[in-house]
Amino acid sequence: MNVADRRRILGPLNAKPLQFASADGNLQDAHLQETQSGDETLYIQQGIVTNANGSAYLEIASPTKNDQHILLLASVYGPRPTRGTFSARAALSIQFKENTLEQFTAGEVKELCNFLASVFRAVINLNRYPKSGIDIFLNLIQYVGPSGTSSLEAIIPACINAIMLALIDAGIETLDTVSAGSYKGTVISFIRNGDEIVGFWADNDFDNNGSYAVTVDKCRRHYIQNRNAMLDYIVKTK
Amino acid sequence: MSLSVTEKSYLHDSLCLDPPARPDGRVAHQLRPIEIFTDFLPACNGSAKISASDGSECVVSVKAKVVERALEEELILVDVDVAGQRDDSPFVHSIASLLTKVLNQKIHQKNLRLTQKYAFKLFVDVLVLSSKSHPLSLISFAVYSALKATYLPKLISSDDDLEVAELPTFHDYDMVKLDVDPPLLFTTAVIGNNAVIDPAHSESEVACSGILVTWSKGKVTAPIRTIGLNDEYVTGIDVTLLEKSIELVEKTAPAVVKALDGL
Repeated sequence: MNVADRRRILGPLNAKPLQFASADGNLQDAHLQETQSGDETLYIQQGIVTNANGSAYLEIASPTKNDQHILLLASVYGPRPTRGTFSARAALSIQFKENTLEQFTAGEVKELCNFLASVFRAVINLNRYPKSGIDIFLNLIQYVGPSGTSSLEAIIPACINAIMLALIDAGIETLDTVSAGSYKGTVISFIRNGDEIVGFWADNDFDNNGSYAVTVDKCRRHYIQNRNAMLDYIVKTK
Repeated sequence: MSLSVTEKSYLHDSLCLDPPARPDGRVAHQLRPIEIFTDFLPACNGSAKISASDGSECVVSVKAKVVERALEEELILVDVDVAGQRDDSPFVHSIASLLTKVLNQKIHQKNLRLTQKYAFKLFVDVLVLSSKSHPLSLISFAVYSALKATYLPKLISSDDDLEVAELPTFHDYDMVKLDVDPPLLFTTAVIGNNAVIDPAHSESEVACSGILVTWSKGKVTAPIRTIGLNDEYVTGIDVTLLEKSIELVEKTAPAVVKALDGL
């Protein structure tokens, strides 16, 4: 991956990237990682799409949630120059596609893309990339919901985590490591250690499953698990 | 009208004050004045036209069709057309999809039931003639008024047609008022440590985040979502501000419902 030619702010010509010593000596399986995050098993692999600037493949299995299974691939293209009028910040676009079984309607997919774009507009430091465009593509390879049902809120946390890992792989500057947690149909995406919300998606009433405060607290716990699993992977592989 | 960097910064700072100084002088829980006409399209079962003080206008028509209940999954279908936006743009699509979902969730199918076999299917067509701010809450007010002003043909044949093959027959003139309680969608904008309801265009431009809150049957219900109102000022918001937005809607919504029901 050639970093130098697509960065707008270039370092000195003889600059070399920082190299950290690996946390553990075993680098045989540097790009493969399986982490236990709470009740879920996560499998992460970065850099799987060779022609993208960054990509991440995510497998999530939750045996406690009736064998829910998600296979998701996120790829990031850019920042690449855009033609036409000057723009002071990068334009962000997110596309979502189901590769195998189409379980969501076109309208739901658009809602999801809109929501994810609003989350990442708040997180990516778009001011650093003027006159550029960042395109993110999500491919849902497989999704098996609890007892055959499909719901958008089950895949949103996975989408956010996958995009974040792909952005890290692409070396795009973000304000923080964003991740999301879900609790009974409510998905909350946090930054800054759970102090700030960047995305909120509730399709079920709170009344059925406790108050607002309880929901936020449960989501925050799930977020911290997810974020720690991601950071753990990054620290171990880089 | 786009604002300059200085204007935006001034607006942002004044909206961050306590209490927020809104450009049109409203208090945090005050909506813009709106004007609604109902029942003005003769070819529809129900219609409403809403205009807001900033010149935003929206027309909604409701048409009904008799369908077999077993064949239809959703009895309400919403189609949205926003002037100046492509029909296939994500913005228009997601508004239509959200409204269809919310209306089908909150309006009970038994209200549209005609006989054992048949039901009315409602086609709600939304046309946003001009809008500067996020049009969702304006659309939802118009849909609410249109559904409240909808009259459907009166059934004169028997409503138990499970055993007999009979098509429903209707009275020539008499209509029955549709008895439904549609949900309302409110948008709030979070700026600094403040939450304001029904953000105008200029407020949306500098908002840190937008929140969509649904009000149905006297309480705040799902869906509640964050929506991006602009590209420039969006940031993360404090956890308490989301609760503040919900409280703001709880404070304002009963009066809005009362005003819309008084039409």
